[in-house]
Amino acid sequence: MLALLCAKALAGITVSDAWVRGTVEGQTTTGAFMTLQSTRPVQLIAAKSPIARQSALHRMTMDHDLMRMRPVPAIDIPAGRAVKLGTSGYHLMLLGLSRPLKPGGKVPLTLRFRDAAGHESTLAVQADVRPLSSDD
Amino acid sequence: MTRTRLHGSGLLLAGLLLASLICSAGTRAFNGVDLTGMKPDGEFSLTDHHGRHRSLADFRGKAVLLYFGYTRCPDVCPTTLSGLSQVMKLLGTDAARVQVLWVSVDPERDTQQLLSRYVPAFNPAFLGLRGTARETAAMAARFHIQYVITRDQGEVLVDHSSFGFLIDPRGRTRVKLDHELTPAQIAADVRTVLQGG
Repeated sequence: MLALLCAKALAGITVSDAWVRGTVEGQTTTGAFMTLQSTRPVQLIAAKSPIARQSALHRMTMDHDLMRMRPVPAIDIPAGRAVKLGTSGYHLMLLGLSRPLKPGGKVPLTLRFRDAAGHESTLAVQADVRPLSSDD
Repeated sequence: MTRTRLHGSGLLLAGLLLASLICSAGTRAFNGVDLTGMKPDGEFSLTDHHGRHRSLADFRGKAVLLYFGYTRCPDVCPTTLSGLSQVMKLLGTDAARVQVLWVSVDPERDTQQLLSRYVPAFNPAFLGLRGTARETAAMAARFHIQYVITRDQGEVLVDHSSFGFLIDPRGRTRVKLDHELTPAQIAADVRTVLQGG
């Protein structure tokens, strides 16, 4: 019953192509990327992973030649339009990694969304670990 | 008299400009921004990821692709390095005459050991460089690279210039390579300087 309620609460949100950039030993941060789509306007407001001490939503901007990265409180997912973390300038940042992430592995992520009425819901996804040198 | 002289120097300037335009169109057409003759040679003093002291003179005879970044960078830096590994593939046998140098703008966190694992992950021939805070600042100033390190909610954030440079086999800084350039465009510019252009 609870599972049914959760599924209902998340109706319309699709996460695809979720991946995390692999790391070498000594790296304690990495980025997570995915394509988010929703039938109604929602916001991604937080992410969590057991392999990271902390996570953050980030926005990368180019100010002329200067690359800036800043935490943002939420990422808007407009109705019916796919938002691709990475090329959109947004990404999830995983900080304080407990171990190096080897390509071929999986990283569990829990994404928290909020809809226009203020209702929050979570969605669990398994992100593939891709090589450090992967492109978006 | 003054008027005539001004006029004369104006004509001379116009002539020089025209000549330089014709020359650059005729002998070299870079995809990046042509810096030939505009910048001082990019001499530097840094330590590579093997712990060896390095200066630009060590790479004389090779074209150098010089980029700046930091290992905590989630997207732009790895994508740039991955693009440079594609440049090397596109260059084929010419790649042996090219050295990619990647300078950390965050040497406090990018230790020599971390650079020795991170940079070669993109191509075993790539070399990571780091310096003390003072050496890094001097290097950045020489190449007009901006970098700012701030802390926000426990996170270390590094803003930095995203472009790189192409230095010719004689050690002259020749081209500014903007972030938007494709590996094929960068490879073409590398070939131009390798052919003495």
